[in-house]
Amino acid sequence: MTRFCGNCHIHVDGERTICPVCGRKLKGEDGAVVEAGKAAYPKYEKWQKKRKNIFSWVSACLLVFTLVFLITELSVTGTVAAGWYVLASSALLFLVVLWPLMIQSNFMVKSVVGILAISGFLLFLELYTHTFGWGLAIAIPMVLMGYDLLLWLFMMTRGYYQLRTLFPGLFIALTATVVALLNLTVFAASVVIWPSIVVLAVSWATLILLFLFRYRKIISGLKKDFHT
Amino acid sequence: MHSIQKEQNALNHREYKMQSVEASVMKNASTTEPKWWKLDNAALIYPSNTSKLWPAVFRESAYLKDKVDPIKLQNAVNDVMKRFPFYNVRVKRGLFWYYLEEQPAPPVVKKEDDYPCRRFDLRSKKHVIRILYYQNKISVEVFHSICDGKGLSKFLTALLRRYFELCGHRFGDDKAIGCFSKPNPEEAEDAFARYADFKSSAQRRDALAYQPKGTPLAYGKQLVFSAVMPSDEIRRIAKQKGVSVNDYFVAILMQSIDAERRKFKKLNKPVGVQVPIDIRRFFPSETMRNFASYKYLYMPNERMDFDELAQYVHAETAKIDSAYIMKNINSNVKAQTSRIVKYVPLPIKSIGLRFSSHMFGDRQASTAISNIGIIETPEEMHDLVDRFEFMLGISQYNAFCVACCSYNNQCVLTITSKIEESDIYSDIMRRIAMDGIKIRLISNQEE
Repeated sequence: MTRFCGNCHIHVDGERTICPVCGRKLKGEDGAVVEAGKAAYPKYEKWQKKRKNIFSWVSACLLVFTLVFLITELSVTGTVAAGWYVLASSALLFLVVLWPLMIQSNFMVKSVVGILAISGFLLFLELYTHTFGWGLAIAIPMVLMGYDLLLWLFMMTRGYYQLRTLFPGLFIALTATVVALLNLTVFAASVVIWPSIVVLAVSWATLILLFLFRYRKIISGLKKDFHT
Repeated sequence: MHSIQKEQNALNHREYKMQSVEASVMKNASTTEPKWWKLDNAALIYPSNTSKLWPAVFRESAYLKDKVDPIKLQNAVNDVMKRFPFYNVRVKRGLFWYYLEEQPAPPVVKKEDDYPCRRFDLRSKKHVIRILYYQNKISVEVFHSICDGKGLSKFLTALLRRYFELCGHRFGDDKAIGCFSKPNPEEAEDAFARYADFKSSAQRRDALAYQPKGTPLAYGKQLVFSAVMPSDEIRRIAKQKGVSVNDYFVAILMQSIDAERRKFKKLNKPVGVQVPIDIRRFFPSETMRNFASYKYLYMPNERMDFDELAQYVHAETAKIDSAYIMKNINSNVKAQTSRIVKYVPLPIKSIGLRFSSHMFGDRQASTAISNIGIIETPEEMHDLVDRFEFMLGISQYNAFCVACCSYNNQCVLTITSKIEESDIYSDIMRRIAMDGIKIRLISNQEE
């Protein structure tokens, strides 16, 4: 069957429901029948398999290295000390480098997992080393600030006002709110508060300003996401 | 029980098929001393620069009306490679230059199962030509050091001719080279060296052009959007505007890229389009190796409507004449034959070639459009082949490249992209469709 894309004004062959160019829903059928066995491109299963294999092997090597380190340390010293650092670093490496390389295109999930992984790692370091006052109060807000600014820079220069960039922005603002609330209420007496306040203000301000000044582009971007 | 028997038969048949393919390749293996060829002038830049970012590979495909028979295709390849030994090669490193060395056996045809125009590993002792089949499509992918688009289309039509001959068809005219015809020594010549007169030389560097940006696709992946349009309609529209089909497409590309540039307010660099030129039009040669030059066309800064822009492009392309081409040939051949360059060892030369490619290469254009025009085949082949498709591999600096060819009143404009975003391509399609041309799109984009 051949379907039509009203946005690109093209007729698309095959069983597709979404326009391969613009991603909008295809409409109608013009009755032309495309013969079976005449597809132009294969499904690239080999390519996907190769990527998965590389990813699995590197991840397995990382896992084996971490396990060997933990077992060796446990059998030699009887406790796990440096092993926790290795375990946390491996998890960080997996979540921030290996996994994003594997799922190449999902910017939204990659950003959220990246923020969570780096924040979790910093929190672990702060708690495990008992050197309180720098992680949740300074380092995590700074990471959030860095991510936030990078995200807005990316959006403003490239003009991608879609769910994959808006959602991480919202996630950063919400995380900054939680961090600021924790620092202001639970740890208010013992830590520096200004970094959390600055990040909270910057993340919400950028979000609000964006909605105020790029409202039309956001709506058109979201329409693209939901194919209306 | 019946289905198990059927499966077993299918397995046995596949095994037999593969054995016979390998046997036919081995039978055709040459035992004599391998021949070798110098790279032509335009081919020199590619081996030093090839990388995962710039594979320097392009593809031509023929969509047949029936499914491809791989055994017959392999036999056709075996026969055709004897006629065109300079395609049955690998690229080897010499002390001063890379060169082409004949392979002992012809390449084995493969079922297409990967993204198009993947990189050739020059360190492996393998061919720098791939012959692929998939359902009703035969594709030939080559490393650019072997040939240009015109050369490859001659090779592909010769391969198709032999394939159809093995299928029992006969061809009357000579529009496709027969694989038992007498080889013409001119086919393997470096035509640049023949025509260079060193009397004039060209200015090497143009302006740096605006580069559309986007989210890069995973390594090795590339998106293909092929727009199939009626050739006579395209020609009619171009004629109405008083320009050629190529000028029309160049103007469309310029407008679409300019719209993107204005959207992101990147007005400091101009929109440039690289247009390869088939030199055979100006300096007759039968060479099937590289014999192409190029011209960078830049969009003027002042706002123009489409017709004015098309006229501007037409006026610019009309400036391409034999004197312009000769300047380009001279400056390239002069650099190659200079004594200082000649005796510099290859590793050092490669650094220079990479630098010159960085300085004078794709950065000077926002994209490239290569149009090989109408592909000529014998009359009888028009009933056997539905259409041809010409495709450029990804380039180092440009987000996308465009290629075009026509056959059987079907003009196929193929966009290859290395970024996820496709707003420009959508815009290109829309602009063409707005002129009343019906576009049928074929893509490898997965849903």
